Amino acid sequence: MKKLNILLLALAATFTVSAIDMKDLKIYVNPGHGGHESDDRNVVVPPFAPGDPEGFWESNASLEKGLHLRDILQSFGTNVMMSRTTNNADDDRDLHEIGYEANAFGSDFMFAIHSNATGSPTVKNNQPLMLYRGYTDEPQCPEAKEMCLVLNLHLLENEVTSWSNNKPWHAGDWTFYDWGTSGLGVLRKLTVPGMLSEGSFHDYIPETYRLLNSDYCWLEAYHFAKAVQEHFNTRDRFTTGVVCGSLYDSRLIRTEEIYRDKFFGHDKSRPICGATASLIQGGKTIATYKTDDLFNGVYMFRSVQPGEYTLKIEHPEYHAVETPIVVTADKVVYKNFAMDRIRKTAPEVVSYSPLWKEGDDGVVCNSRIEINFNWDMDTQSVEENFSITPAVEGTLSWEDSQYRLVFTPKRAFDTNTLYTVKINKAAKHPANISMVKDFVFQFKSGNYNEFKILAQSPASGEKVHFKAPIVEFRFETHPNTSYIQNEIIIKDDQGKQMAYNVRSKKFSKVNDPFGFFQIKLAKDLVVGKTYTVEVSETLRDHINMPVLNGQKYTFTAVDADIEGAKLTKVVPFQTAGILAFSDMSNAKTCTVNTSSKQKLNNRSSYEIKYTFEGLGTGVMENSQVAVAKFVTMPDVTFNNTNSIGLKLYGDLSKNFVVVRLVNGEKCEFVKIAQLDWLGWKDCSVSLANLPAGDYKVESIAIAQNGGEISKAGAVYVDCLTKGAAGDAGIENVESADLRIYPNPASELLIANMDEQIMGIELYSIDGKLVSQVSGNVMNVSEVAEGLYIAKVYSAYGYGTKHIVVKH
Amino acid sequence: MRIKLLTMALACTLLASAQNVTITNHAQLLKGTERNAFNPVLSSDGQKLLFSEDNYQGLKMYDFANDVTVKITDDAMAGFCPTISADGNSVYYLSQERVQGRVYRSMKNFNVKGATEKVVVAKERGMLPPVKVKGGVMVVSDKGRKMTAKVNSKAVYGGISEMVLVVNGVEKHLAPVATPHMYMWVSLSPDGQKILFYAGGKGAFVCDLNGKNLVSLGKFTAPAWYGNDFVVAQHSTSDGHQYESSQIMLLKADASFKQALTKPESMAMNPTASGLANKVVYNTIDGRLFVMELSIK
Repeated sequence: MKKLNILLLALAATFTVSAIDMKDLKIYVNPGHGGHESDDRNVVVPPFAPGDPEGFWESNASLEKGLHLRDILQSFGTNVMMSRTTNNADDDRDLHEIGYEANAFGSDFMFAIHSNATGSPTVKNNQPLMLYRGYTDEPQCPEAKEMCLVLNLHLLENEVTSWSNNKPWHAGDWTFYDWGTSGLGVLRKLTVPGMLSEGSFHDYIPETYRLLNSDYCWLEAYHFAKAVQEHFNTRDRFTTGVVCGSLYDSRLIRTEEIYRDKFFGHDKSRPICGATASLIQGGKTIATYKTDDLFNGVYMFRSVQPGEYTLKIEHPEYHAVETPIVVTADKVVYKNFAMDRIRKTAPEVVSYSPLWKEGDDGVVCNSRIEINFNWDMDTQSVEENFSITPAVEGTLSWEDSQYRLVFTPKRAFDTNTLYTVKINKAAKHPANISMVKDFVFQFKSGNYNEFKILAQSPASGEKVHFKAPIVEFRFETHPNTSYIQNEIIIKDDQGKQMAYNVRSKKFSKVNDPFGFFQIKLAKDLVVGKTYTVEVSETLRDHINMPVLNGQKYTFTAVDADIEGAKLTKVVPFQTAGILAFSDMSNAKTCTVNTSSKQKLNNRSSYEIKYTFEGLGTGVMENSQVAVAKFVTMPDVTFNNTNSIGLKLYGDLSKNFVVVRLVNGEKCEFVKIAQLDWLGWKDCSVSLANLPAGDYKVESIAIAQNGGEISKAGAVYVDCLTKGAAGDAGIENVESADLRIYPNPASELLIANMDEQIMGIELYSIDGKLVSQVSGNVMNVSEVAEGLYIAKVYSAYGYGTKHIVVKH
Repeated sequence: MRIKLLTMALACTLLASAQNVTITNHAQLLKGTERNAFNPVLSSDGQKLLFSEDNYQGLKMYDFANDVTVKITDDAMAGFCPTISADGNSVYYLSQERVQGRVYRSMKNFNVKGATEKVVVAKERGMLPPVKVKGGVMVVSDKGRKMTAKVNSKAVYGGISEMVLVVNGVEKHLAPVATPHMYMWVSLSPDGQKILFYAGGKGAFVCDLNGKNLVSLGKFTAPAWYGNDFVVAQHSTSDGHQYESSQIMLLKADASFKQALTKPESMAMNPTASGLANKVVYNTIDGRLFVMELSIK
């Protein structure tokens, strides 16, 4: 027993020694920089004008906290020195003198009190940040980091605010900032432990308003004092408790633009100004607190004797609430209240849209229906009593704190239809009072409800030339371009979205006859690979009319130059004087010229540029034509055992390309292609239906199809080709399965694919045949170094790969 | 063009004040040997230089005469306004420790010749930097004032809202500038006739021993005497969090003249000077020491 007593005495002695009194502490308080000057931060919130010194300034809030901290600490007898106690130009003190003063004072700890900001109107945050000198894992003063951790936890206890993140956030200033080891100026000259607290984010607007409340600033100071007590293990503790919280409407939300709809926790709810909080004990009101008119809803009782109380909240427009609470010394009781408004009158509709009456034009088909009530409504009861006839698929949503019901049709209303909208009188507001009578209105829809795509490239199943691919969509009206490059996307065979060259983006303008969107892909396609086009159902026109459906389809990348290789290139179109304007043209304009603007594998081509008068007939035989004739008809004949082809650069006009074949007095028109793509393409058709005889090609014509997109264009022509009738349109073998190795090759080039390989041809980039073998092995040891195209033939066609020969 | 305008502006300043200041030498000190050298303090004769780490940790002394640097201590706070005795044989400095989280400081003396240290005043609360007096040091703390020298002396130190001048043991409280903050960087001119100080929130000033004939030098921190007629000081700007610029200024004690000795972007700080040696030493924000020699006519 004696031993135990001695042990207890020793323990008691230890505790006596380890605990100290707050009166023995020296604390230096630096409430940041003062002076309402350029290095201060003014967040402009109503009702304050920009620059109003009574509005929110970081220097005001920091000083408020600092003065409260001083007072709290001094109430315990702590020796406190402050770097400023006012807020004028003299208080914008040099960082050097603040450090000197804290040192000379012999502070046991120095607090630099600040608040934080994202600096962005759209990015919001609200979380305390604690900073100390040094690296996060290697603080210059370990005690400073310890204090940061303690203070951080205390600040996070605050439930009056709404934190964006409840996790501790602390860092060494050398780690946090990218300033090297110069760090925070106010910490760098300290010989005593010190830290900088960014207590909350003052540009998070609900917090801005709270920081305008002195009692809220006091609460932060209280947490600093608690941190001091814990860090220094002081004997002193608060003998009273704190009761505080936030009052806000149970249903109304903050809708003002200044908030930018950025909220955390209960901050979305509208705070209640002018409410009275009362602390009642034994039927007697001990204290009252009236919430201010600065949109924070904060109430606070700072020094409450421990005991049992009733906390009552009253406001003329709200139902009073009360709750029993137990106040404990050295603790904070947080009680936030969501309060219900007093609603005594029946709800009714005060306005609605669309407004329409008999004789008016139809309403735009994608209009949303809005119904405004005189009260915020019980959403469930209103939604259950809403109807639209004929039925329309759509969504119901609420705006303006449940004052406005919105019906948004999933797509658009049917055209030329009379709709009836009804709110049954059973709809009620939260006080359970229903409408006195049904509300009904009607409107008639207009005659346009679909954003139509007229043409698109790449199209479904299309073979797209791999080089410099362009995406173009043509529409009946102008597109909404806000998100269009995210609404029309291309994915590779791995499902990865292909990047666009955004600088190449083009849109139709108001005066253009049709809408369009054009953009280049940032990289070439890979021959043989399959790609997917995805068109989102969110694609809209300029009045937000949606497309009928989204689309998803595939296309394949090919090399248009070596596509259709079963046909022989009989006229390469590489020199001047091959094609010329023909007076058989009846187009409004037509020019025929050699061109280097669009080239297939670095060769020049011929451009046939045209405009047509009017919208056309849609019937090829009666259409206007722009005709390019051969200056000298090629010495090549075609008959009904042949096929004929052209390499064409399409213009997405949906017009037709036709060749005129002549045999003495006889002539035949043969349609080679309809121009429903943009870019190079190999086109060929069988001549099996040609009347008997040998024909020569006399001219190439563009025949108008019809519609706005057909009125003008430019088509490029390269290479007239000829083959057997059965060779027309034969597709190459998909080369995705084709394997050629090694690449680069120096001795042997080996090809493998799932089908039996018949032979390999090696072409230079300019299209010359360099080497040719039967079977799947080619000796390239004598082939000059360079880039080549290998064509690998199987029984079903051929595949291609770019390969490099390197010795 | 900007350089030309700057040169013209400087020339105008010089003409207006009829003062001709030339920097005859400007070089980095201890280049390649000391990487984190801050808070320089020159001896009165300009032959010895104390410096420490950025947070005043440790203390070293460089001897210009023999180009030797010696380590005096690793103690915390030793670099906070240490002083070298007039004969150059003693260095007085603070040594800080924490007991139960509370800050205590003792005053130490380093004997240069013997390379020995001893505690002059044991640890106390609120001890201020050493105040050099003839034959010793004056130590001021929460417990009061102690003097190690018994000869007649004159010394001054700063406190909250005032400074204290002690002449032969008789103290005089001076508050020539009203401030709720501390009087900092308080020092007597080499001839002992004037007091240089920085009044918290107000700026640097010079006054006589009665606190009269007050001259405002401007908001320049860390002022230090350069002879009896000139002062060097730091001119910094910050965004409230970090320094944006910092330069060394030469100011005439009667405020009739001022000249920048370095550019704002030099991030030069903590000047110290010896008028006897025509020498100014400062550190940059990244811990390099520079010495410049001036010719003032």
